[in-house]
Amino acid sequence: MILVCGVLGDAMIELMCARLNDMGCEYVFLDESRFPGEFNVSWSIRGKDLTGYVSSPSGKVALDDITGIYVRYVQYRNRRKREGISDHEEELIKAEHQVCLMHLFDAMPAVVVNRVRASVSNDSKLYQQLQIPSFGFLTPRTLVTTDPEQAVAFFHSCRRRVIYKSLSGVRSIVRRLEDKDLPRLQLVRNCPTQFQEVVEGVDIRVHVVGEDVFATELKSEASDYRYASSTGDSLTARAIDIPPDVAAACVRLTRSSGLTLSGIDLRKTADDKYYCFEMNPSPGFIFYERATGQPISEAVARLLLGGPH
Amino acid sequence: MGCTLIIGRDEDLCCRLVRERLASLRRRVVYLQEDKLFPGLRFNWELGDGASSGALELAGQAVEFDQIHGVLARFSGIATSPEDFQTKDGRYLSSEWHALTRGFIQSLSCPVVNRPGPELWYRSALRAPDLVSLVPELTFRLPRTMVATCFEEARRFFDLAGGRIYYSPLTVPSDYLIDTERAMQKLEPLSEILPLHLSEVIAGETVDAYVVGTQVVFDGVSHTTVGTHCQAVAESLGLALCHLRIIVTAEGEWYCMSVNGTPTLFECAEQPRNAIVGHLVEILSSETQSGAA
Repeated sequence: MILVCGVLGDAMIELMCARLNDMGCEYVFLDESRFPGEFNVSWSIRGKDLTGYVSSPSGKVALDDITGIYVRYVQYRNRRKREGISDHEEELIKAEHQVCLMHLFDAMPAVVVNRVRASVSNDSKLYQQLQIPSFGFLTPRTLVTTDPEQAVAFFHSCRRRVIYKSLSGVRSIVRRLEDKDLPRLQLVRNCPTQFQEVVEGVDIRVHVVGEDVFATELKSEASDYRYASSTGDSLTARAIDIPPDVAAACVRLTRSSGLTLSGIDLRKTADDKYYCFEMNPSPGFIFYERATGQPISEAVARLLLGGPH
Repeated sequence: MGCTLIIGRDEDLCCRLVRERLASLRRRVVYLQEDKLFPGLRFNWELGDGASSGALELAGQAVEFDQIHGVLARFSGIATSPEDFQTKDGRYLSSEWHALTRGFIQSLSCPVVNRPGPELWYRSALRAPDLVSLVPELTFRLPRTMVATCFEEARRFFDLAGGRIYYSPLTVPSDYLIDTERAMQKLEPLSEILPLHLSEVIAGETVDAYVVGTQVVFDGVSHTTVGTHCQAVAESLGLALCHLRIIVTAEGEWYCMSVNGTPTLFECAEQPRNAIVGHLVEILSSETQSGAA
């Protein structure tokens, strides 16, 4: 039995449910927007044994019977407002329910896509950037600063070919630094900011699912191809093969973080060097699957059938 | 001249005592008070292709990264006042500060107390639901524990545990004793809005052990035989400093009730507190560049 956990408004949850249906896989959908209430969990620890169940309107599933879990840690949506409960209390209640599921999935021996304890390194792109070189990838020259003068000096030393982006996963949009932005650099005094030398090349998104690797080449004029449609830039995507050593490095990077699924952002330069920017622990691969026909969700479904991991 | 970097807050007793002790030894300290950094903190860090270098300066105190001999990292990741944290920008700044410090302390080769892996970034007080997955080789027993979102299961657990259990929020390190029918009944309305995290009450002697690097300091009676087990837990979690609350039963069974990676030292008696601070100072002011802590 597979457990899918999230909210139906999330396109990735919808895709995985559809794929599991299509493949005839048995699964239970734990709808977080109706948890607790119509959906409940109960689990206990005795010695080092974990037992319990997930209950849904269609019945109970013992934790022992669950071979794989696909979970998206998203904010609850359309949650009814409880009378007499402040916004702050409501936040705490949501946190308690999320932690309840996170702890459970962290402790279960089933395949989990992905455990929260494996997923948080993406909250610091700098932390990830420090890990990446040991897997054989290059990382771009980077300045993190609160000093406008240093930012300007970096801009010029990189021949004015610099992007800026957040350090965390919040507001994570890559933008090109232009001459007209320089007066605004005074603002970095208020918040540390990351600047990177532009690496020329072709974007490649690699999805690792267990041992399977799906690489997609992306071509766009946008600084951040993910936002090409909103900036009016073109975007093309096609499935490609990447060298076996690069694919193996992606699998090792994923596994080293304890992830079973990842979305890795690479850029291949004209002289066949591979830069790695970051690894996403909860990739929305629906875009890539639809654009290229790569069977990513099918690979995830097969992984979830796989038993203890 | 080398220095010790302290990242924390004024109200943190551990930060304050370590700063005072280092000052009394005439050691150079740079202190980053995390809720009063921006604007003001001058921070420059350049990295790429495995190389990393930089400098920081605050209120006239400046240090190059390679002059830092030790870091006491006690930051919460909230870089604003509580009022500003309620704003979108305040939360964004805090996310960025958290991301920066996690990367920064990872890049340093000197001892850092603590430099946990990502799995501990958002957890400080670890109890059975954390420990069962984070320390699978734990040699201590864990109290029987249940997490349930329906009251009927909680009731069964209460009865099974002989009518004496603790209710503890999952996100707040506090325990509420439930040892009467009336107290149990109060959990029923609570179960409609919160998951119930319950654990059995273990009768026995409470032992508070603080692991500080290679040392174990007991607050109260020393139980040196259990020290190696405490160190194994700390090592497994990648923590140079942590507090273990242990209960030893009359039958001689050892239970680990919690592990705290950011112990406050408020609850600690003066003598062990001084010993903890002394060991921290030894680690942080060491002239040898080592990544051991």
